Amino acid sequence: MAPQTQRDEYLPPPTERFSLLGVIWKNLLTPWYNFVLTVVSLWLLYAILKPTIRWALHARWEVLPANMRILMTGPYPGEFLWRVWATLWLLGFVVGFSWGVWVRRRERVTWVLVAIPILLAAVSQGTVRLYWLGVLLAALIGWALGRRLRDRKGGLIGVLLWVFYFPAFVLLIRGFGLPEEGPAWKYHIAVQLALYVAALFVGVWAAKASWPGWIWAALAVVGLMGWAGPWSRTLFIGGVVAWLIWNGARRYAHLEGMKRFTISVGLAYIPALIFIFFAYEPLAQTWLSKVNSNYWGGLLLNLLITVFGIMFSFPLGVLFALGRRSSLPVIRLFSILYIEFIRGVPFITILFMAQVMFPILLPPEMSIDRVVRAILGVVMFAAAYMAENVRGGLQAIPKGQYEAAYALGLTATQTMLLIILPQALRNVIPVLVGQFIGLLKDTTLVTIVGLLDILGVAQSVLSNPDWIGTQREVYLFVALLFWVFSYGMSYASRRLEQALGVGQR
Amino acid sequence: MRRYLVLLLALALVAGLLAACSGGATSGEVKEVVKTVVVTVEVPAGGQGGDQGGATVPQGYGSTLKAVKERGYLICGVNSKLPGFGFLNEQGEYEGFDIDYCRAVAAAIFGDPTKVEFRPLSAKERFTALQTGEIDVLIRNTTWTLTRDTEVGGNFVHTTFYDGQGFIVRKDSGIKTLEDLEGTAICVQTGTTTETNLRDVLDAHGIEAEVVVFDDVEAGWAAYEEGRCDAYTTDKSGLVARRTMLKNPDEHIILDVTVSKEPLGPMVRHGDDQWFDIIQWVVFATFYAEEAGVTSENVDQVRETTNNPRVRSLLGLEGDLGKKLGLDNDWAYNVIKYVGNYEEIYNRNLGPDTPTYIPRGLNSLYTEGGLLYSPPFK
Repeated sequence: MAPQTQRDEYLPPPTERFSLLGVIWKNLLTPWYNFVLTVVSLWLLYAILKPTIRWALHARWEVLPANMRILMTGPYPGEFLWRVWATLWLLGFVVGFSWGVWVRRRERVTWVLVAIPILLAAVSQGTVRLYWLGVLLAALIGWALGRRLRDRKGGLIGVLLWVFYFPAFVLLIRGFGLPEEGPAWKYHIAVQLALYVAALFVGVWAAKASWPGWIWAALAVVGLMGWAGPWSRTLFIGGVVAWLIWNGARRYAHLEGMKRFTISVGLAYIPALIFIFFAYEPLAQTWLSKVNSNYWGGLLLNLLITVFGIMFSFPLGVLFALGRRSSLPVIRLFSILYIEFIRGVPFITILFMAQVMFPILLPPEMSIDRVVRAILGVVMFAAAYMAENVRGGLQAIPKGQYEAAYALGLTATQTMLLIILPQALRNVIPVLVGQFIGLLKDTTLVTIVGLLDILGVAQSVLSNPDWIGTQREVYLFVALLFWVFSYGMSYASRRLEQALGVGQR
Repeated sequence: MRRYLVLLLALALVAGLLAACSGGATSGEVKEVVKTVVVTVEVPAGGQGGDQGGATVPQGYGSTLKAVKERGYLICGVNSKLPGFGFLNEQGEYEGFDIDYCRAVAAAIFGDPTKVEFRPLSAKERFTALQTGEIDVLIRNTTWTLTRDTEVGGNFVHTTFYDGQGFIVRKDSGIKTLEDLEGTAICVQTGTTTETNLRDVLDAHGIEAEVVVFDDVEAGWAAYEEGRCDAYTTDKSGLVARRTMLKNPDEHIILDVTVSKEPLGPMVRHGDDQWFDIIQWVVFATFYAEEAGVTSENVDQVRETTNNPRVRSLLGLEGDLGKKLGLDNDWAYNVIKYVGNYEEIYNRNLGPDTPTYIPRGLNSLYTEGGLLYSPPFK
């Protein structure tokens, strides 16, 4: 600060007072070319604004409220629309909680966030208004709770809430798939949960032996090979998850008996809850019955694909970036081939591959849900670009960082996870967020492969004989929505950069 | 600060893990898919050994109906972006001519027109979806051609809508015949038979014209309205329907030229003749119901009073036509009761009271000079 004040002292005092006319005269009217520019600009503004305003006043804006529901959720069945709202209430709660825990200063953005549901409630009617107020209420409850728990493990709970939010989201949107013809699904779930509980207890109680790991792996392989028929997938997923649980549970093996018992019972509690949840059939069949992905649509589908695209492609991209810099030739070659192949192919081609070719290539008894296929395509595509962005960050880390880490006795993994990646990722936040925004906008391409995302719904609205000819209104609204979301992401990334001090140290 | 970074990284890893785990956590639904699939696989054996008993029953016979019944609903591949034929209304429900035929099939099988799941398909992926069994039947304004009947692995049942490709131009452009299109720009939707037809016709007549392709119908029409193209070409049904929605409909005329046959109808997979018959006869039932004057309004009354043996067997009062198709005997009654006869379906979606009015033309009963002719129900 010091040098600045010094320089200020030497600046001469301002000679003119501020006056509007003076500013206009000085900047807009003299010399002559500024005058010409001003006149031309004013004329241009008039020429553009006049028809725009005239159109905006006469546009059929009623197309938007009339079709708002399908623009947001597509053909999602009306009787289950409350489930979509429930995801919003949950989101409100989680965001509120996070705010209570982490945001200690007064922030302008807080008021913006509070204003959003209020504003939306104000412009909507009937139950929708109540639903929006519900979002606000959930956020307030979450906030109050977060503040109370701020100093009592609130952070941990907040992280857990976010972690559990996404499965809950999918669960609510999709519901349960209970085939009508028989109770066999119960056995599948029972077997999986039994596997998990077994993995838990074996992990906690018999950790010294490494053999259980092989059992889970063998189950997974049997499942993968398809020997077990309809049980294959159950065994595969069960085996993999059991292995993960077993690995996690082994950490507690060194504790003394009673503690071990408490912990294992405590952990088994969650699978047991899930089991009860599944077993309670009426709930599953009436409130949470399955809504197939054919009925997911609108903005909901865009956001779903975006969130999952980011969640999966980010770790994958980091892996590919590390793979490309690996000293192991096979891994390096594979990463290079993957990245360059994907980057050499347009996104639409990949989407078409995923949507049209996958089902042909797969054996007939296997089928992947079409939304999952779209997400796979998005992930495959985004991961390659993500990898190059992250690699850019990795290249920027000076060699001294590695050497310093090794000198401290860190292993290669520790060096990467604790020293290199945090710095590298921090450096590429703007690029990564740029790519996430691009990803959000790219999701509208799924409309070309027949998914009813917001653009697909928009086209459907335009095909409704009652609303034909309202392209401008509908597309403008869609553009505005995308702007809001993109700007939100951009704003969040700027705050993240500030918090991490990017560019300041 | 570094601690936060570690936390951030840990979060990222957790997110990744979660991604892996969410497959496990929601495994209940995954298995559902397995089960459905298994059903479709195992069925051929059941179909073979089961109903017919005869040695001549081909593999796959009856498999689709069985799979549909076990699933509990029909999956119908449709268009979600064609005025009058398939689109989403404000309540998120599908509406349109093709949609009604999906509902008719559902009504025939389940006696409930709502037991159908619509799968919106783009023009390019529709045949793959049918081949791979993602949909049971494709009712998506698809033109019946020899290639599609053979190579793409499907069979067309009887046509539900006779269409033909035409051109719309501005009145003041002076274009009257095909030859006048020389040197003009013609807008067309890409990836359709319309586009290939257009190129074929231009080649055949030696006409040099610029073909401007659009992936999106709306964009194509917008380009025509803005004057980027001198003509727009698509099926005449589309032209008639759209002309009323142009800013000044009177300034545009549809040329008296039909350059293609476009018989549009439902398509089913190769290899299951029973399913083919079901879809085919659902279509015929709507034709015959119109011919016999049976409507959704009077069907109950007709059922009680009629003496016409053909109508009696249509409505399941005599014989066992439904059983022969593998359905309940009142299958056609349900179609008429819940969806209606051809005229009702047509008028609901394309009739004079709708914005998408198309004169019936070829799509009239044979008794009125059209092409709708149902074989006898006996």
